[in-house]
Amino acid sequence: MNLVLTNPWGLLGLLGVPALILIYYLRRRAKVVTISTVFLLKKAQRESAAGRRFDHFNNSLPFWLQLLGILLLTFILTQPRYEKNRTIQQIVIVIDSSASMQPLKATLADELRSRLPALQGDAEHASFLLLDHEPRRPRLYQGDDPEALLDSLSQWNPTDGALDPRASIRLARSLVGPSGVVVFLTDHDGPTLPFSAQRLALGEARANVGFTGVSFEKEGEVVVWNAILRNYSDAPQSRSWTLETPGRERTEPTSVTIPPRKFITLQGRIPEGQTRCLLRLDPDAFVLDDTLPMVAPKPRVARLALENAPGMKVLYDQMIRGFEHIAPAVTETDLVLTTTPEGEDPISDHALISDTAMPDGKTAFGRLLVADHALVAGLNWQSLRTGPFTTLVPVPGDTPLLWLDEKPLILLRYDAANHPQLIFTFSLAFGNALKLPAMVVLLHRFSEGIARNTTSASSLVLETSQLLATELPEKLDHEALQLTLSSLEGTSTPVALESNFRSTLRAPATPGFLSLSSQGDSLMEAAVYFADTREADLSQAAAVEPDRAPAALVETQSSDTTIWRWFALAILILALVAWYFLGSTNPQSQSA
Amino acid sequence: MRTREQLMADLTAATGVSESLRLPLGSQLWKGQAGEFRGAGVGSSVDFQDHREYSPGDDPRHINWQAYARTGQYTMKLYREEVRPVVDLFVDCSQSMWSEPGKSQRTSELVYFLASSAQRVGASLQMSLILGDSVRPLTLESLMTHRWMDEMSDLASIDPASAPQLDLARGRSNAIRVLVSDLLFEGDPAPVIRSLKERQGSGLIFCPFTRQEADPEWTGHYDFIDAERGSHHNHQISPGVLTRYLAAYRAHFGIWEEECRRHQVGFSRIAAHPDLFTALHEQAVRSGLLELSP
Repeated sequence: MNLVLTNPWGLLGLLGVPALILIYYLRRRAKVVTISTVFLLKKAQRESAAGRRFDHFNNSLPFWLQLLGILLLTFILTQPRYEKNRTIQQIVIVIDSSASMQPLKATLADELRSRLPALQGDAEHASFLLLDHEPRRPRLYQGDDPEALLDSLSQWNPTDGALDPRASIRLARSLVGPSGVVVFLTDHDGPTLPFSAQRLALGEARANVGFTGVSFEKEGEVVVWNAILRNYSDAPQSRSWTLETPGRERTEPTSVTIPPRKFITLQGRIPEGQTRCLLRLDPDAFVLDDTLPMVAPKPRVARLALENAPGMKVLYDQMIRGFEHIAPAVTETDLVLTTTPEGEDPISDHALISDTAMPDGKTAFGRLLVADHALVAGLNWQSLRTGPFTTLVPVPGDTPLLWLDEKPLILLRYDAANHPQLIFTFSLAFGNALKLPAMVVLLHRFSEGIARNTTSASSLVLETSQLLATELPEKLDHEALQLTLSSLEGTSTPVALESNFRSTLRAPATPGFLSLSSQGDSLMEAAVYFADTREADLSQAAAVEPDRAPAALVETQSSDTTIWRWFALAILILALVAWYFLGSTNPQSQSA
Repeated sequence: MRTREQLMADLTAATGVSESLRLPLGSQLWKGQAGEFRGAGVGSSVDFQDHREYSPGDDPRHINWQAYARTGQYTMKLYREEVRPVVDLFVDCSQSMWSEPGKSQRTSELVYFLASSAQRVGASLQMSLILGDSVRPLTLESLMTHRWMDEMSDLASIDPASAPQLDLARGRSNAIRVLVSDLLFEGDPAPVIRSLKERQGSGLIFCPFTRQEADPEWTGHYDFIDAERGSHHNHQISPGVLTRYLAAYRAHFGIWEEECRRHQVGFSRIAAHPDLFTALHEQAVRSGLLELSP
């Protein structure tokens, strides 16, 4: 065992030795006595050979006890620590779960196994804690078995985006205190980590080519896809790609060469009769972006009806023709174009309401003012020439979106069932309102919001881990919802939904397909692809070895903190013995 | 040393005690000049002792004429001899006897008592002051006029801490030799004891001691000054040291007692702290060194 003095300043306690000698010498002057039995005293005790001054101490047991007490106290003050044979090093590994760690997944256990001894340092045993870089996730492993630690990595699947690890490192440091070892296991170098954490980077710069995005065009009834393929490396890369459809049908591999750090676009059609397809590249080290699932996009549709408003037929036709999310109503209606004659009750439905009446037949002019509202945000109305004003007037609770001086032109109203209604107080049949881009955008925004909340089926392409709440209708019963993850080959996995699914439901972390239905009716068909270009760029990956476990940490870890108790007990015993001797040789007590 | 006034007080105390106690002159046979104590030989006292045949040179006054008339033989009447005892008093004048007031008083009182006691019975008293190898006779007049302290201070010895050399004092034959000494010197007791016994002498040792030396209350550090030589000796007195000192002290006087017993020399330690009569009665009388006066 090695003795380590963790507080060298405690050696200042040795100053008590000369102080004790001085005090002793000054205090204990010799008593001068004339006796005639010196020759007998010589027999009882040898005479001082070292001189008179030092004879004070040679024969003084209390002095030597007090001196020993000072030395023991100094020893305690230096906080001595013994490196015991059974020493434990606490090691916390915060693992980077970003997707760029995917290439390391296969070899990570072996790589980490070879580095654990260095992290353990001089300690004989180690306790391990494996934390995800997202501190809210459960611990991956906690225990003292290194093999179990490495086995736990098999359940680990890095698919996140880049995340600041400081929160997890702070948590790790708080768990092990200042004496533990905190290691951030990642694949790249970076700035010095906080909280005395060490970086263990096992990355390696690799060439990666992958899909970064896709867009769709419609050529008649044919859906054409445009997939962007990116080369992240500094050298030209060649890859072969195929288009796969359900039933394991695939096109012939087509080879492409991508210049360094460049993009190319692949284009093709979704095969006729297919709703799903998948682009597949030759696999490389980073596999997440080697596949691009696709579905023909189809937005959720609102059914539009025209009621009692022949003057709005032009608007109706424009919306049917121009908006993808608008379809003519057949039996059921989601949105109504209508008018409300003066004196009648307001309609109760999602509605666009205007009036063709012209009470005075005059066109109003004045200064246009736009409200701060999402529906009209960023829209330019300055070229608006309104038609004549109608009899529609604001009621309490209306939200004016556009004014002409003091006169509201466009109102947002919610009926008793909280259905939004867009009310125009001027005639849409006259003026240039329907030709104004701002009006088109306003109508699109309003109608799209209504369409999104319908329960019609939609198809769309999502990014991995994308939050799905924005793509879902507002009113859904989670118990009636069924989410199924599937692959192109037809394997499917149902996923249970929680009551708070709106804040937690995300697209899967790996590319694939998903289906969402409510009571058997399809709500959403989606293809999910990986689009995080920061994680796909492996050219900056690097290897960084951590420092050996710091000596101070080892000392603290391996110390025997109970030794001071024995020394304190020894000091107490010495004090009692010294007190006994001093007290028992008191002349008064002796004569008594 | 004692002052004149102190010596006068010591003399007064000693004279008073000598009326009650005396040297054991009556318990043994003495040889010497005619006196009032029974001698070892045949004398001319009135006490008839025995008969023997006449030898030429015998005193014709002691012929038993009645026996001659009956038997025709000269028969001598033998009477007990009455002699005057001879006392030699040796006073150890080492500084240890006089360094402590208690012991110096007791020593002074002993000297006065022994001198008075001897004088009271008409003994032939010879006194000597001895310091190691230095001897000085002490006259009765000097003693009684308290000048003996001055004479004592004139003594000079090569080694004042050495044993008193009694043989230099020329003790007389058949004398009862009395030594007043604290015996606190190193060395074999035998030479001193033999000096007391030589020439048919009988020895008595009166050994004054103080409580300070017999049971000291020392603790801590001391600068001890040797009373004999004036040298300094530093000692740290712990309970262990004190215990060993007491053992050495007892052993020292145990040897003296043993030697005295072996040589049939009376030995008594006289404590300094009680009054003289108490000290002598409790210690010297019980030891047979003194007897109650008739």
